[in-house]
Amino acid sequence: MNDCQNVAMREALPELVHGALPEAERTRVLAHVSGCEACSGELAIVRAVVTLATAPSIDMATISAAIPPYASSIRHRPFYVAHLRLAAALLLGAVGVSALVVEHHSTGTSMAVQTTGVALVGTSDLSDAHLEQLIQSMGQLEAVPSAEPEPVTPVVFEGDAS
Amino acid sequence: MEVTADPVAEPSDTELIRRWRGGDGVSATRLVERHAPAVARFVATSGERDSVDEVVQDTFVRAFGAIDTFRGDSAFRTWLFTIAKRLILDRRRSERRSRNVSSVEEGDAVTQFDALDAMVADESLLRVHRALHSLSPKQREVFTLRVEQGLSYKEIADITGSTEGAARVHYHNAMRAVKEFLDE
Repeated sequence: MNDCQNVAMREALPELVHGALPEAERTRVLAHVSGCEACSGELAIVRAVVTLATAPSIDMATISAAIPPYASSIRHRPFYVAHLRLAAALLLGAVGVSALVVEHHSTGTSMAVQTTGVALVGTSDLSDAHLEQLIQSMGQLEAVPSAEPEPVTPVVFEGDAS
Repeated sequence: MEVTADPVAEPSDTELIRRWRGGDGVSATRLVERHAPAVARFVATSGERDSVDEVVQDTFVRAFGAIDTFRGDSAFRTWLFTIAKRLILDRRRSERRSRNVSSVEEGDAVTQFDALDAMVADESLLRVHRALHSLSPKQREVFTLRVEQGLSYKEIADITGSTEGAARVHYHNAMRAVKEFLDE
């Protein structure tokens, strides 16, 4: 038996048998099959295979009963870890690590600001272990004094009675 | 004219899954009723007629246990077939290890197909059944998924780990082989 050259028609045969074709398409395919020996033969094969496919009897009640209740597979972090992250974020933002050096000059006051930048790390990028380590290390930091202040020369305003 | 939703329209698989996640156990039952027969046919066609109940049950237990991994890119039924296929392959590997049988074909379902002979009374149907038996495992798998289940080539490719093009080729080669067998 030669194959029909109309591949689209041949490929529609399973959908035809399963009733999955829109009405207009179904009419077109049936009209083609009625005049095509090759497609008529293939359609008979498709119908035979579907007939052969008897579903074995299964116990659906047992299957349904075996299904466990829904449990999210998304790992929820412990309550305190979420708050630990928030605390770390606030701490990093507030500290900023800046050292102010104030220089008093006779002609005025200028402030030389030295800042030590700290890269603000997104805490969500840190693992729990790294986060706890960071919190602990920050707790051990001592306030590092700025450079010893220069002695301030008092300015006396003339005419000051006191 | 007010348009109202069809009150008897069946909820979609996605909607039933959503309801089940929300604690509605009946939705799981409805999904089982909707898809278990097709999964059972797939398992039986794959050569596991003796353990259909067990494989189908394992399939649904696995599926619902891993429901959060179902992204909805494929149809729920296609996903179930994929799980069932993996379970069948795992069982066969396990059986091979325990029986110490070497290099068994993936589609090794000879005894299962022979047993079906006794069930088919119609001579013409029997010939078609034997024609399917003569196909290569891959051809038989693709052919039965396309014809029995009415799956698209994309769905078949997802289940078999192949491509749409390869699935199409396997299907047409299988159809040609069946016709040649019947013409003999």
